[in-house]
Amino acid sequence: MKTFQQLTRRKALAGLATSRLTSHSFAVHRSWQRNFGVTAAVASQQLADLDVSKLSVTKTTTPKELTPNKDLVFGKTFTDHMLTVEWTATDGWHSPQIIPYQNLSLDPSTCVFHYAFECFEGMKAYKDKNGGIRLFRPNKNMERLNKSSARIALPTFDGEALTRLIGEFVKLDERFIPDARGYSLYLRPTMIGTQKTLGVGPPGSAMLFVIASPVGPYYPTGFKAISLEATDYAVRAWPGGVGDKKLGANYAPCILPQLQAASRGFQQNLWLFGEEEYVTEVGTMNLFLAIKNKETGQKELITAPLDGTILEGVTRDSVLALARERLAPQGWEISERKIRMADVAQAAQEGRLIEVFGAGTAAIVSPVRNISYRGQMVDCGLKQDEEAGEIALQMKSWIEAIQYGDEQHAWSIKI
Amino acid sequence: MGSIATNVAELDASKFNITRSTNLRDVPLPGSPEELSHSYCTDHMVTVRWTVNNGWETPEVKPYQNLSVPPTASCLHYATECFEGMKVYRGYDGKLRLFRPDLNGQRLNTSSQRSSLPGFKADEVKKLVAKLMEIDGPRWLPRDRPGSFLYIRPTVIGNGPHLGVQVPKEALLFIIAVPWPDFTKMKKEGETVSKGLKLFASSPDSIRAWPGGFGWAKLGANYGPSLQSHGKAQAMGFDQILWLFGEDRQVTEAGASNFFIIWHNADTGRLELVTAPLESQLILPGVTRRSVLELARERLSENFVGKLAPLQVVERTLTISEIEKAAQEGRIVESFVSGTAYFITPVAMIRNNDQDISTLGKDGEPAGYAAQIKSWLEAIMYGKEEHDWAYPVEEEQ
Repeated sequence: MKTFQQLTRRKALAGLATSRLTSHSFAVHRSWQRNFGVTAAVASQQLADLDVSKLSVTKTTTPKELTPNKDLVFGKTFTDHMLTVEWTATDGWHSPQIIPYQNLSLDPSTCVFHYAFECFEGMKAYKDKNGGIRLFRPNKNMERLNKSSARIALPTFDGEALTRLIGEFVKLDERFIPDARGYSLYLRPTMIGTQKTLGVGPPGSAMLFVIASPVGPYYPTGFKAISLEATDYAVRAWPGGVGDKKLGANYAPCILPQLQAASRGFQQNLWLFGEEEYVTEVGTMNLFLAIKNKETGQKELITAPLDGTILEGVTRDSVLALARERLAPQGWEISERKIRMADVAQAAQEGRLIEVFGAGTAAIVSPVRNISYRGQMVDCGLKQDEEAGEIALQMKSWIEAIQYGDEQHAWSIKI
Repeated sequence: MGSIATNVAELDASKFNITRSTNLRDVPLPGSPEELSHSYCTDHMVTVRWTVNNGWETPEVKPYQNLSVPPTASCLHYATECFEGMKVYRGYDGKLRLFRPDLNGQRLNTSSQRSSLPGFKADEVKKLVAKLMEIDGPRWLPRDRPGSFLYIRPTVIGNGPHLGVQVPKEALLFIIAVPWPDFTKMKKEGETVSKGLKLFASSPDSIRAWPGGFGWAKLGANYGPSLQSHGKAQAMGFDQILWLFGEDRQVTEAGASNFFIIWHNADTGRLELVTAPLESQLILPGVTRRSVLELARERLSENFVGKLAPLQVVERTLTISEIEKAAQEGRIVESFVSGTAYFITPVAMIRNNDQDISTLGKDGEPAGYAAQIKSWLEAIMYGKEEHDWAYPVEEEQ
């Protein structure tokens, strides 16, 4: 098998003093221009964009056995291949490659290990009832990956080209997409900085790779409503930070608070922010609350606004759009607004909290039973024998119908 | 926030598996392109693998080589990674020394657990570093080049074959060492000597750290995201960002260094050395920061040192408007930043909202406190002064 960085140390030594280093300093200069648009003097040199026609495919000689559907665990088994594309500041995007799934070989001084030059996406490929393969709103993932990448000084790319490359990759590994409702192929596009240097600077080289893992339903035996711990002792994101981007940097710091919540019997953190204790996100999902207005009795579906601290979830956006299209006519008010935890607790106390759920790619919706807040349990409106509220159930069914192609919809892209 | 796994092997630097490199590299000359690359590492590296089931495996010293990581490694997706920066110094007496390596070990342990990576006995890290230097020190820091140093980078990364935001089931601690350019020795003839760094105060739309966050730990997650602001500042001709926080625009850190100012107190007129406090958990507890404070308290707080008047050491929240006012009133004596990589460097000015604030003393020069503290620290690092902050490394013959 090939390794990604075939430069041996001796070769690197020979090339270091001349081309590599001069290109490095040039690269640094260039990438600032790329990311920060300080000067516009580089028009003369065109960097290569992602080019689907240059794709090369090296098939595996050792195809894996398929895991039975019932044994699928999220992120545990992967398909036969992976998609990789290297980028350098001097040349832009190199030729895309589909190669056998394999380890990356990276120098220990590679900047991704030290300074978190990394971002990713989560998306899925679905098999429809006619055996066709479908992606769900891939353009949203491409837009977001580009935003994330630019924020962390990594390169941007042509999103349509990557979608097509992912299509080629998924077609090649099609046999791994389980042919059953609730099952899909989870896709993980990832961008990492690959420059070898301990100096903190914009990476002069990067790699985009996509791996794929067959997954089953998030709740294999039906919904199981979760308990949350309202978290004010740790923050996930802050104004002027990077919480609205899908950067690796947003994830590791949240694992420890999650462990602490779990040790007290709560599945996830409900991230509160600021003195006002605004409700922001739940674990790694966006949060939705259905509340009846105290004065008017008006039913309102609420989620936090995209103020820079909230991840721009694709499922969040889909839930909002469907709610505006299909719930608003039934009299619902759909709001992207801030809401305080104290107001949520009060609504619960007064019997006005209808339901609460998280929204994300993995589960689509994740119903919430209760929230531990200031020593009391805020009941989120589910009956004792109920594991999901009406809106959550409705949303899951609407979104799945589109994802699996039962309903013709512009969001579902056939490969 | 205790160690995540129990009843598994602890990190133990009393035994090693050693594989020697048979292909020794040329040691780069000071100022060479290889040295300037910050990536031309020494012949060997230390690696220690950790798994959730067995804990820490036997440390290995082996030829410097690529790491083979699965594409699922959590460090590539969720930034489960943290590191340390430290140096090894070739003394004027020919000996090799580390500087306060216990503090780096402790901080790495704290950072590791904050990023959901395994904890370890902090003491072992200095032994691992010493082992690497015992082998690579003699060739990479020759005895005939006293006063030189290597930069050392202990790193912990989350690894593993599975994807999912969770506690990594595998991790790797690795230590590499690299020649680092000493910019103080690189001034070309005729070059105007800069009086200090130019700092660009951050705007409210870019905040490095937040209370309840992790700005106090040395996580990879604190570095990549800061680059955008840093890039803007550099493009405008500044050296570093001065990170401000909060509505009152508190001064926290400068780039990846701690920030100090020496001024006459607005009310009492008394001379003070001021730096941001650790309690707010917004700043990194720098090893150099701590050493500066300890030396200043011990040696500068009572008597004159040459022409340097005694001062009082104060760790407190300070704001950019206080600095601005002090500059207007001519109360600033000196300002500097401290950190391992670039050590102690005077600050000449700060730009805040189009307002340029000079942080030099009245005569347009730094008063000399930074230089004095730097020279005390160097005396300890390079063995001119015997001090228990220096940790000697016994080298192979």
